[in-house]
Amino acid sequence: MAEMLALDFMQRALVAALLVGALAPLVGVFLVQRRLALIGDGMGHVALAGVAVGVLTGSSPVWAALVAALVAAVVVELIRTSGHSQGDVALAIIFYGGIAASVVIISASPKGTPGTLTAYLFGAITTVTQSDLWIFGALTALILVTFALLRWRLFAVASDEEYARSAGLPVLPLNLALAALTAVTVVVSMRVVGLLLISALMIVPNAAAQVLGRSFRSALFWAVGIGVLSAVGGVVVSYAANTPSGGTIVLLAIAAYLVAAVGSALVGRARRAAHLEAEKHGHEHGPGCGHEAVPHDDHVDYLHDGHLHAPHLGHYDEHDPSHVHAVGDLDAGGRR
Amino acid sequence: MSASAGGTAGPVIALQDAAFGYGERPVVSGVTLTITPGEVVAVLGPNGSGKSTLVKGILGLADQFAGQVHLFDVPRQEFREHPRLGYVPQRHTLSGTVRATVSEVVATGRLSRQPWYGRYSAADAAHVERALMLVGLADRERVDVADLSGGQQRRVLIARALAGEPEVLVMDEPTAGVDAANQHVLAEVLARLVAEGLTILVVTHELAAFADLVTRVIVVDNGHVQFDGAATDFAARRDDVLHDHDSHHHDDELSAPAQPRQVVPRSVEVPRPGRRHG
Repeated sequence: MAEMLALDFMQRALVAALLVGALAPLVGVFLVQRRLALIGDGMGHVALAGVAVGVLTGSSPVWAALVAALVAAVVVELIRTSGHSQGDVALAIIFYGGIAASVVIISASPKGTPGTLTAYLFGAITTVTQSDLWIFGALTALILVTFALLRWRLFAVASDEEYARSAGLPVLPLNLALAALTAVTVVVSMRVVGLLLISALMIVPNAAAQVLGRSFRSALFWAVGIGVLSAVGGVVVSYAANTPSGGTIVLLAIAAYLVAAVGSALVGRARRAAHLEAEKHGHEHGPGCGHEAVPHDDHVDYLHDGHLHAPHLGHYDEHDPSHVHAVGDLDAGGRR
Repeated sequence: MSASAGGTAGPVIALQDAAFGYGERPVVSGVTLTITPGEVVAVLGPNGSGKSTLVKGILGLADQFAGQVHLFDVPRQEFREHPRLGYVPQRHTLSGTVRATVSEVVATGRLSRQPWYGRYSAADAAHVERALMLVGLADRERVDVADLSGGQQRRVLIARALAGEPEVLVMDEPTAGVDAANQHVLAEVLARLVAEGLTILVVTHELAAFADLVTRVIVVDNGHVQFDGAATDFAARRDDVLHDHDSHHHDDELSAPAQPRQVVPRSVEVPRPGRRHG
C-alpha cells in the first residue's frame, strides 16, 4: 500500500477518484429522480468527440470534451423541453453521431491509437495529469457550490415540474443547470471511470442508497459514501489487479448495490414475519384524534382500545405495547 | 393562512373573455369571471369539459389564446408574487423514484418565498410544521411519502401549497381516487382552511365532499362556463341546471349523494358571467 501511495500517478488517480466518487452520485440523484438515468451515457458519447478533436489538434482533450459535453447538454435539454414527437430520435442521432465521429477522428489522428480510445472509454488511472487534477478540482468546486445553492430547487423541479412552474421557480434554467452539472461531471470523471461507464457511477450508488436511506437527505449521504468507496476502492484494486479502473469501480458499485438490496430484502422479510396488521380500521389516527400519541423509535403509535396502532402503507400495524409502561393505566378507549 | 397578507380588497382572480388550451387549440373559451377574497368556489364539469384547463390557464400552466387574466389586479404576464397562489395539482400519488420524506416534500412549498441563494430557516421549518398540522399530518413528517396512503399523499400536496402561505388555494381534483373515509378527512382539512380565511378554488367532479363549504359553483362543459352562481342558487336550481341531455356525458360526474345523478345540459340558462357572488 505504501509503495502504491508513493507513486505520483497513483496519488493523482486517488484524488481524482475521490472527487468523482463524491460528485457523480450528487448529480446523478436528480437524473434518477427525473428518470433520465441514461442521459449521462449520451453526454459521454458526445464528450468523446471533444476528446478526439483535442487529440487531433493537439489541444487539451479535457477542455475540448468540456465544450462538447456542455453544448450537448444544452441542446439535449432544449430538445427534451420542446416535447417534439421526434425528440427521442434526435437525441439518439446526437449521441451516436458523437461516438461515431470520435472513432473516425481518433483513427485519423497521427497521435491516436486504439489504446487512446480505450483509455478514454473505460478509464485509465495512469492518464491523470497534474494539470488535469487542477482542472478537475476547480470543476468539482463549481459543482459543489452549485449543488449547495440549488439542490432543493432541483429536487422540487425533478419531483413535480408542474407545481414548480406554478410556484414561479425558473424551471428551464434549473433544468439547464442540471444538464450542465451532468456535462461537467462527465468530463471530470472521464479519466478515472471512462466515458462509457460514467453514467454507472452517477446511477448505481443512488440505486443502492435508495435501498438504504430513509429520506432524500440520508439517501444522498449513502450515495456519496458508496460512490467514494467504489471509486477509491476501484482505483486501488485496479492498480493491484492491473485491470481498467472504470470497469473495476463500476463492478464494486454494483456489488454494493447487491449487498444493500439483498440485505434489505432479508431485513424486510424478518420484519414482515413480526408484522401484525390491525383489523379493519375505519378511524384515522392523527393529532387530536382522541387517542394518545406514543412516540416509538422513529414514529408515533396511537393507543386504541389497549392496542398500539402504527400507521404503515395505508393501514395500521399492531405494535408491541410492552414498551409503554402506562398502558395498564388507560381505559378501554386508550384514554387516560 | 395569510388571507390578509397582501392587503388586497379587490378581486384575487379576474378573467375577461379568456380562452385557454394547449398547442394550437383552445380547450375552454369565453370565460369571464371574478373571484373575490374569502370565496370558496367549486368548478364542476364532466371529464374533458375544460375545468382543469381553466384553472391551469389562470395559473399560467396552460396557453392563453384570448382575453385577459388578472391576479390580484396585476396582468398575469406581469404577476410575480407567486407565493400568494398555492396550487395543488391533480396527482394520484407522490411516490417518485427517490426517497423523500413528508417534510422534505412540503418544504419545497417554501422555495417560492426564498431568494435562489436563500437557506432554509427556522421560520421556514415553522411554516412547514404548521402546514402539516393543518392537514393532520404533523406526526408523519419523517415518513417516506411513498409509505403513505393515496389520501394522505393528497394532504401532503395540500400542505406543500400551504407552506408557501398562499392567500388563494387552487386545487385540482383533490378527491379523485380517494375513498369515502379519506374524502371526509379532506373535507375537514378544507373546513380548517376556510376558517383560516383562505380563498379556495377547487376543481372537482364530486361536489358532495365539499357541499357544506362551497359558496359558489361554476359549471364548465364543452369548453364553456354553463353556470356561475351562488352555491345556494345551484342547490335550489339543481334540477333546472342539471338534467339529462346528450348521452355522451357521464352521469356520475356532478352528483351529491342525496341527489339524483344528473348532468350538465348544453342549453342551460345561466346567470350572466362575471357576476360576483359572496
